[in-house]
Amino acid sequence: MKGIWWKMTGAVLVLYMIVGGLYFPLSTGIIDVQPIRLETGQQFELRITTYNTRLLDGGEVEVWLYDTLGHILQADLVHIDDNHRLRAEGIIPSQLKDGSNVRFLNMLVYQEGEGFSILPNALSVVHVVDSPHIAGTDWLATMPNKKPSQKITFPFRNILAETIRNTYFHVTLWFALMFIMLGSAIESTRFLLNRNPLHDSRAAALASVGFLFGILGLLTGALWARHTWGAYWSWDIKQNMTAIALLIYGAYFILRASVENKGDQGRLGAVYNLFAFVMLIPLLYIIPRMADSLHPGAGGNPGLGGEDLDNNMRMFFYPGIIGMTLLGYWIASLVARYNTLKALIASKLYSRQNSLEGDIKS
Amino acid sequence: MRKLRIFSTVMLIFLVNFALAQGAEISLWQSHGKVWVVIGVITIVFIGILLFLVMLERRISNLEKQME
Repeated sequence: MKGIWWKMTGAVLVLYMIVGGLYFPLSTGIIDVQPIRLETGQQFELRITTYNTRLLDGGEVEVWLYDTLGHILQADLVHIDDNHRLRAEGIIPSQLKDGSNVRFLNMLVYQEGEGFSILPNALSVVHVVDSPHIAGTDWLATMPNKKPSQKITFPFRNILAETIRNTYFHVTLWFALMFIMLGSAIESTRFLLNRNPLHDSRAAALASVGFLFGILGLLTGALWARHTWGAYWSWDIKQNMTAIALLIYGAYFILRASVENKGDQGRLGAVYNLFAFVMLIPLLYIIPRMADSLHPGAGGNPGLGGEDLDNNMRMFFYPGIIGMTLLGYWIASLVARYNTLKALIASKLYSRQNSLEGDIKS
Repeated sequence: MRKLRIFSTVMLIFLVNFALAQGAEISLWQSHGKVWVVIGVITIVFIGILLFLVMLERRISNLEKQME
C-alpha cells in the first residue's frame, strides 16, 4: 500500500476521536428549575432537576442564587430527592439593590468533591412594594470560591446537552472539508501551471470527497437541528450559505462532465475550481458571522461562543480534524487513481480503435 | 447480487432511523441528553462514506469490464 503511514495515522486519529469523544461524560448541569418567578420577601421552595449528578452519593450540596449586581443568596435548606432531583428552601430579602424592579438571577448548585453547575438566568425576582422585612434575611456580600470538579469531562450546555459531542462528528467534517478543498485548489493551480493531467484528476477527486463531506455535514446538521431547533431546515444563515457553497461545487462536477475535450475539461474545471474555493471562504466563515445565526459558535448565540470548546474537547477535536482530513485524502487518492486509470484506458481504447480503423482503410 | 445486499442493508438502517424518528420522538431522541442525536450523526457519516466507497467500487468494476 502506498503511503501506509499517513493513512494509518489518519485511521488511528479518527478512531481516537470517536472513542474519546464518546467515552468521557459531560460535566454536571442544571436542566430545570420550578418556579421561575419569585417575589421579594417570599419564602420559596425551588424544585431543581440536574444532569449527570450524584446528589445522593456525593458530598454536601449547596444551592446559590446570584447576579452581577451583587444579589447573592444561599438556600437555607436543601432536600435531596434522588441523584438528579433536589429541593431548595429559603427567603428572598425584601429589597432589590439599585432600586431595580426585576432581576434575573443565575443559579449555582455546588456539591463538595463533584464541582458545580450553573444555570444562567434561572429565575426572576420581582420587586413587590411593601414586602415585609424578615429579620436576618439580606443579600450576602460575597460568594465563596467553588472548587471545580477534577474529573475529565466535556462542558454541559443547556441547549446542546450530549450533542456537544457533535463537535467531533459534525464540525470536524467541515474543517476537513476546508483542508480538502484547499488541497483541490492547490492541485488545480498546479494543473494550470504545468498542464499535467495527473493534477487535474487529483483536484477533481479531492473536490468530490470534499463534496461528500459537505453533504454529510449538511445532513448531520439537519438531524441535529431537528432535535435542537425543531426543524430539519430552518433557513438559518449558516445552513443557507453552506448549501450555496455546495451548489457552487456541484456546478464544478456538472461543468467537468459536460465538456468532452480533455484539455478544455481540465482548464475550465481548474479555473472554476479556484473560483469555487474563493467563494467557499466567505460563504462558510464570513457571511454567517455577519448576521444572527442560531448555530453554536456563531453570532447571536450569547453564552455559547467560545465556551463550547474547552481544553478537554480540544484534546480530541484537533486530532479529529487531522484524522478526518487524512481519511478524506485517502479516499480522494483512490478516486484520483481511478480517474487516471480511466483516462489511460480511454486513450488506449481510442488509439486501438484508430489503428483498427487505419488497418481497415489501408 | 452483493451490491444489492449492501444497498438493502444500508436502506434498512435508514428506515430504522426514520422509524425511530417518527415513533418514539420524545422518549428516545430526547432522552439521555439527546445522545441519540449524536449516534444518528455518527450513523449518517458512516453510511455516507460507505455509500461513496460502494459507488467507487462499482465504477472500478465497470472499468475492469472495459479492459476485458
